[in-house]
Amino acid sequence: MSQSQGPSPFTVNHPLNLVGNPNVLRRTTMARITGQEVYTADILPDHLGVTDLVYMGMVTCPYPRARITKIDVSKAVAAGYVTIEPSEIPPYSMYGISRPYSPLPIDGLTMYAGQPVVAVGAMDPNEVRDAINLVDVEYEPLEYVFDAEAALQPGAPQLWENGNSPAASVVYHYTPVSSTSNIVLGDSATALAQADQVVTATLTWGLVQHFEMEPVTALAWWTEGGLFLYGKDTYVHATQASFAGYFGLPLADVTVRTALGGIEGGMVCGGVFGNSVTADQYVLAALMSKKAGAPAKYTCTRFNNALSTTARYPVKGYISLGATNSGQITGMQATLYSNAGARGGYTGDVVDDLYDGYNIPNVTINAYTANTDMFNNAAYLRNVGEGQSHFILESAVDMLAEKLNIDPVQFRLNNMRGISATGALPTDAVSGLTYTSFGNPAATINASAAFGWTAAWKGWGVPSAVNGSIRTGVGMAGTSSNKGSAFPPTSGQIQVSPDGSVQVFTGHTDHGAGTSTTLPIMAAEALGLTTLTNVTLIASDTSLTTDSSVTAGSTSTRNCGPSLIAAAQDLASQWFPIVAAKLAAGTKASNLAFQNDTIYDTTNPSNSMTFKAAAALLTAPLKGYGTWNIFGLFANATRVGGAKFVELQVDTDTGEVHVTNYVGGLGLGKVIFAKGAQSQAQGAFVGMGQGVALYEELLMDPSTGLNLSGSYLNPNLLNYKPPTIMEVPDSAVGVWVEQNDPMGPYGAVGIGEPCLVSCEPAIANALSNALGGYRFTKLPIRREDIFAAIQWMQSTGKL
Amino acid sequence: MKTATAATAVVGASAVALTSIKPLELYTSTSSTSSNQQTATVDPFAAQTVTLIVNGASYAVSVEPRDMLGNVLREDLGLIGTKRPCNRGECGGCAVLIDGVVHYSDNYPAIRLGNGQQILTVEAGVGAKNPDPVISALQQAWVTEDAGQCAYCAPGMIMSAAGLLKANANPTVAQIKAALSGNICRCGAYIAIIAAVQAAATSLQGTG
Repeated sequence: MSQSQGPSPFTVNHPLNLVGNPNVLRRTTMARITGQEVYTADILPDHLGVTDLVYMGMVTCPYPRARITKIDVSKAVAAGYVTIEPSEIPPYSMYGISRPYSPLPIDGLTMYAGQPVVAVGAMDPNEVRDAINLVDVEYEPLEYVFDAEAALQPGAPQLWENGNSPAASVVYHYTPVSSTSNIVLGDSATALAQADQVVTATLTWGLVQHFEMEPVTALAWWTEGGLFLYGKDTYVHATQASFAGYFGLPLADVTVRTALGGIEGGMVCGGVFGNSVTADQYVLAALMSKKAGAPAKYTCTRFNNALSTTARYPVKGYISLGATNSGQITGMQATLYSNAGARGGYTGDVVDDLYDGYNIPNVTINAYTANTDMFNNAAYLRNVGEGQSHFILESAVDMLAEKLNIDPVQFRLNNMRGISATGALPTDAVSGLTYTSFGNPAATINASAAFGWTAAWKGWGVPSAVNGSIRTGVGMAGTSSNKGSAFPPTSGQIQVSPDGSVQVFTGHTDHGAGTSTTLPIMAAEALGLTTLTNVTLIASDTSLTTDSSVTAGSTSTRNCGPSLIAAAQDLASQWFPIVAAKLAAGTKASNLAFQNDTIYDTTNPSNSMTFKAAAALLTAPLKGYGTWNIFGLFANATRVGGAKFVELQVDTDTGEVHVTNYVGGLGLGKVIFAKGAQSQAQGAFVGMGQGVALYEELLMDPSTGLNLSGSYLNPNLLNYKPPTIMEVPDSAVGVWVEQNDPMGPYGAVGIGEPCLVSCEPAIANALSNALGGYRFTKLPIRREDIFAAIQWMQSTGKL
Repeated sequence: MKTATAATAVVGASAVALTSIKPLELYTSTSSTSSNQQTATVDPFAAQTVTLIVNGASYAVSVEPRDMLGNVLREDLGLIGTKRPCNRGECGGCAVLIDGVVHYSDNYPAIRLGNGQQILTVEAGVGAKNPDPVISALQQAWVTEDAGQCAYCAPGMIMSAAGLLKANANPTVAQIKAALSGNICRCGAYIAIIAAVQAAATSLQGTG
């Protein structure tokens, strides 16, 4: 199914061979699963050509907030270990953060349980623990605050000199965002007062850690040639600029690589999902290397990874939503509190998904962000707040549809923003920006049909089947994700060698999303190739590649594709005159084109030469350069819309939940790497959506009587339970409506994050349907919450 | 000689040659464990040299009692195909085969080895001189079924699946799930992983 929005300027004129081809396999898998490809955490001294490597560990603070009263490293130093104390790291400005920034405590104050206090280094990895045990640190525990709303009240413990509101600071990235958002459209108070039905709810979303499989790792090496950084890095060029600034080095003296970088086989991350290496780890590794005189490698333990990297921030939302009896939403008021952890700033993007998916004429949104002692640093987890806002909105929308007794799909379609009957695209209700594509309503209609919603839905609170203690329920949630766009400017290159081989250069990495397949597909298609056999990707290495923006935000396809297509055009402009001279007399280079592994004359197709023969005309490798810029960040914003549908079974004897069917519907642009797109759609729900909805939360102990004792209970993969293979649904599939976004390469948009957005409310809404209309208002929905629902059903005669 | 209890923590211990494991040797000199001789106290943390047989090749390695096999495979032998995502046997990423049985190498003291046990890792599959047919078939299927996204869990998954297919050539989906239930994949590729194990089983049966 496809809808045309006009041709993309970033495409080719020939029939597509590789783009969207379901037979194209992920290129890097075999190297990764046979021990050939080196991830950052796998780097050994041999890979660097050295014999000595310093392995690092952290002495961590057990209290959520404390004053350090003593640090004594003398025993560790006497035993031959290298240490870094807080006083050795002057607080610095990094990534544009206005506050002082250091991975170790500033001014002798710790801010979260698990915070590194002293870094240690040992030449034998076994001895890292020995070194940690030899460091003596004493603390005076202080009063702390975990709740974002409480942190903003008068008298709350203050984390920072200027208060707990991280105004105008940012976490890692690029756009300073106020910690308070205030959106006003129309008159929400009057609209809610005049609405026929209003629902009011408080919804909370717990603290979730990424738990990506490769631990966060940074390796630093000071040499006479400068500083080399190897990290689980998603933006090596930004790291290069930051550390050149921090250490006062020329840019050329700082080299940053993801893993070993360079030629494929050494640029991979073992899952990131938003939790890449940061300055926290790099700074400590760089100082350790300088002090120890050898390369220093810091691979987080699971404890460190869970507590001292980043986590997806908790959000509490108060929402009121009103509608007419005929089913038109008329007004919304929402107040959100985002918990940025101790050192986070930016928790934006919670807000726009609340007002831009549906036509809501009267809106008031107040969103606050607060620093707390709950965890280190706020980060994205496969989306930037869209998950939290969708849970809040889609729960409330479902409750309102129930109150009006309107089918939940129909209610959403009644109110959904989308492409008009005349094909006009919506604009952002606040910024006025016109989207270049918009998935809904087509994607919702398509997914509803694929799921078989009409047959499955039996009414509000009415399970679709009851078999003994097993109750089957269905539910859905809308998706409207402002992701899959781009962070230009970007650049990339394509080189052809005389032997016919093709090298594709990008600053991007591949963290599992498939970049190392998607980018070669887009480059090879632009060259008219029909296979990827002779194509190599050179990536994520500041010594070999140029800035291609960050590998994040579902932007890789749109960031890199246009610059690679431009690079192919630049390559052709240099190469075609050479080819034309060898073709029939009078052949014009301007008439040549790539197609089906040949270069041919568009005015006389039989006047052609194979790609390989044309390459053999070259005396040296020929490189085409591509850059892509557009005016203004997000100027080509898209909105990947759709809906997620879930059928699940609840056992009212055991409280066990099992998903029997999942359909993730999205409105996309052109799909580039078809197999990878389906894998993302399945994996987002199976590996994360289910987990966040039903299992996952980093927990603290609030019950020890003293309010100074908060400490984490489950910073490991045993007690923090991501979904395993036992939780696999009977069926899970992604279904697309391809829309040919005119600003996307070949018409593509990115989908990594939209695949996850709104999986959680779809599960919560399906559970409500199975359990007599009971509403779940906090995530994760634990077994005890299921039992609370069952008890409610029993007490109200529903069971 | 008492040998039994110390090995019971080992996954799939029933198939391991338990008599080869001598836990008392961790705390006594190897020459003094025979019956009437006075036991000499030795440093319980002292390193010993063991001969590991990994993917058919022998390696003499000096290991401390606290050296886990996963660490030795990676740091000493350079076999980085075996991953250590959690360092403590919680995610299955470090799974290897020891005498055909799945073990989490991060929980397996290397000092217990060296008695002829055959250790297999993913490096025994595609690309090896004499590739193990089961591991190779699984790796091929991992590629065709797109069972690895970031693929950091994949070596452990593949070795857990190899242990299954070596014991059960035609497993059901329930048996596949049970065998891989200790392996975590954060990309959520489980559906493709099940398909890959089934595809490998089919291809192995096809080749007889």
